[in-house]
Amino acid sequence: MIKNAILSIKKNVGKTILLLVLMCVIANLVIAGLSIKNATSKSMEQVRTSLGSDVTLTYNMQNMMKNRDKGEAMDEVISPVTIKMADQLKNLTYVKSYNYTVNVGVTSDDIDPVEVSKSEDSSTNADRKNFMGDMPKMMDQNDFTVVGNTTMENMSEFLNENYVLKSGRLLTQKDADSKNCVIETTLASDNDLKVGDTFSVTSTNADNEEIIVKLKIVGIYTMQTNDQIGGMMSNRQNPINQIYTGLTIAQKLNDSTTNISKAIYYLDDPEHIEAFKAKAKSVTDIDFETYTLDANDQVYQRSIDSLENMEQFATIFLWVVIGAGSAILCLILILTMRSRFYEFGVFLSLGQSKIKIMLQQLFEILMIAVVSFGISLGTGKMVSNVVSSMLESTQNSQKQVMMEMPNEKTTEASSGNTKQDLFDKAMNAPTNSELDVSLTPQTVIQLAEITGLICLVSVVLPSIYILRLSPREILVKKEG
Amino acid sequence: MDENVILTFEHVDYYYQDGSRQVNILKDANYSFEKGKTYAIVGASGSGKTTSLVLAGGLDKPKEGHILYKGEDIAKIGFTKYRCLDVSIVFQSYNLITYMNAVQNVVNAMDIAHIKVPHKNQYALNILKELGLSEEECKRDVRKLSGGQQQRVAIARAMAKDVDLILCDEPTGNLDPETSQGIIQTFIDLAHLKNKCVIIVTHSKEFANCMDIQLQIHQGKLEKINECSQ
Repeated sequence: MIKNAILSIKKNVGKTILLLVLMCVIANLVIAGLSIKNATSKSMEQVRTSLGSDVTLTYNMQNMMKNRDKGEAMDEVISPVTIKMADQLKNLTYVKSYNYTVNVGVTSDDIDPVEVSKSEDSSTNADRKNFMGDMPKMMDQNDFTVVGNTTMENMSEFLNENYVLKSGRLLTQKDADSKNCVIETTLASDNDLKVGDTFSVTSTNADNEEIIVKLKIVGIYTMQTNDQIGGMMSNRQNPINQIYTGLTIAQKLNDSTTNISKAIYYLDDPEHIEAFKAKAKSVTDIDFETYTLDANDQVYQRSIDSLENMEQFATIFLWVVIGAGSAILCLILILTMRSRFYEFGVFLSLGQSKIKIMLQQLFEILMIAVVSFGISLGTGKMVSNVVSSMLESTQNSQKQVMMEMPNEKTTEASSGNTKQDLFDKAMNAPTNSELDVSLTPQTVIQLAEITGLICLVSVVLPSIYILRLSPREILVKKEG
Repeated sequence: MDENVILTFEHVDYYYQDGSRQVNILKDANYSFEKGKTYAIVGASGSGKTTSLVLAGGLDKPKEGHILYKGEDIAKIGFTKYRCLDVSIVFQSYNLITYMNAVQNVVNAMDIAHIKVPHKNQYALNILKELGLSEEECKRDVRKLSGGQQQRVAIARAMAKDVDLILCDEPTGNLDPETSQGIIQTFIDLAHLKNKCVIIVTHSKEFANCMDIQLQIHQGKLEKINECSQ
């Protein structure tokens, strides 16, 4: 059988080459489809993980505003999140870790804030106090914000590297009861502070009593982004003037051990966000009319939607390639089978079983498929590189549209698609690792399965068409 | 049952539809073929000679009746198994595999019939040489052999299978008289010396006269018209 298959391939060189070329084309298209599909799946996974899986328990501003009476002050309406509420959620399934945050406005006699505006900077302290005195409700008198955290380990600013630790360390749960703090590098340099130095901060409670706490610097970080600076009304709102402390200190300064500003829960997988929300609603007594669990997953949903579209396109493309490939291969085999009527008839008359005749055909086509498979693994790498470069430039242009800020570099890249560029793209792997569509072992296995399936269909269908006839009918047809 | 009987036509009917008309080829055909004898089926074109051979070779099924090989219905044996193990057929149009040379054609038939002999290629080559082909011709592409040479390859293929029943459709149609005579003698020897049953369809009276029994198909029936006394 195998011997006959090899003989047949060797003798019918023209047909063999035709099938080889066709199968190479099909295999390359399948690789392109599989690569896009795998790349989108991988990107979806990356988007999911990069966007994080944190859910924040905070008050529902919209609902609170709806329930607000005319003329009522906002701080009278807002009911802060309590530790009792937050604790109900921290032990739920899916919760990997959590962080409670308390924000308190403070002043300090030991250090000066990094001023927001020059006018403020040039005015004297007395002037400023008078100025503030005129508009006590509008302007915040506090220069700093103490941000108390259960732990700083999961803070998105540090995880996303918007903030980078320059010296010392970040606060952990071990610092809960300590007076350690972490400050921004500009604030530190303006006040000649370094790790190990101390300074005092003061807050005022509802009874106008001053609460003074002496803090020790254990870490200094640098802000890598300017996005958050600007549009601030007061020094306190300037992120540079934020002082990170443990939760206990912030609670002390806030003069409340029951209230927190927000609680963030870090889940084990972003896919569990909805399940976590549902569970939170069913097992806790938190009033989700007043409070809300915000996953901040609109961006995720938007990205996922576009990636899902792309994956859907890749799936359709793949099925079209498989369908069209099988159809073309089937047609070619049917055409060549006409000349094999005779051979089938002879084999049948000699007593060869139909299964073995089909197997010989399958062996022939599989042998060609194996060679084309080998070639396609080489060329497929180039195809997937081209596909990835195209996806990359599509993504870049999408980003440009979204940001309405054309990037000179990417515009050049997308406009200058010469043949040389295409060749370079084919030979070089993409730089964007998020859109890596390179051939994975999984893709190779899938390609082998799909090629095998196409071969099987292409051989079995025409073979059945012939072998349903009796040997006499086949031999008569051949003679006719 | 007579032990010598190898093939029996038992009330065999065969017909085909020509539009709404049914054309009967065989109608209640009955005949028993014996081992050690050569048979010639003669008759006009379209009388059903080749159809009888096709049915005897298990290449098609009778519409009615049975064909028995050594007393067993070939439908029960299984047509493929029967063709593989019990019968050899030499076709008028040779029916060789075109991408194989003569030796490969013979060896392929042996492989299909699971015939195990040492040095298969040499065995095949010897049979072909016996039938008058040179070694070079045996290894040449069969499409480049003459009609007579191809016919001999087809006969060699049938002989190599070493079965008790050999069916031939005009086996000497493309051979010169001298070679034909040699082939006829080969078939006679296979029957008389190796106790095989050889059934030949032929137009050649000369050839038919050399066979032990001559049959014709008359009104759909197989009838003996002549028997040579040995």
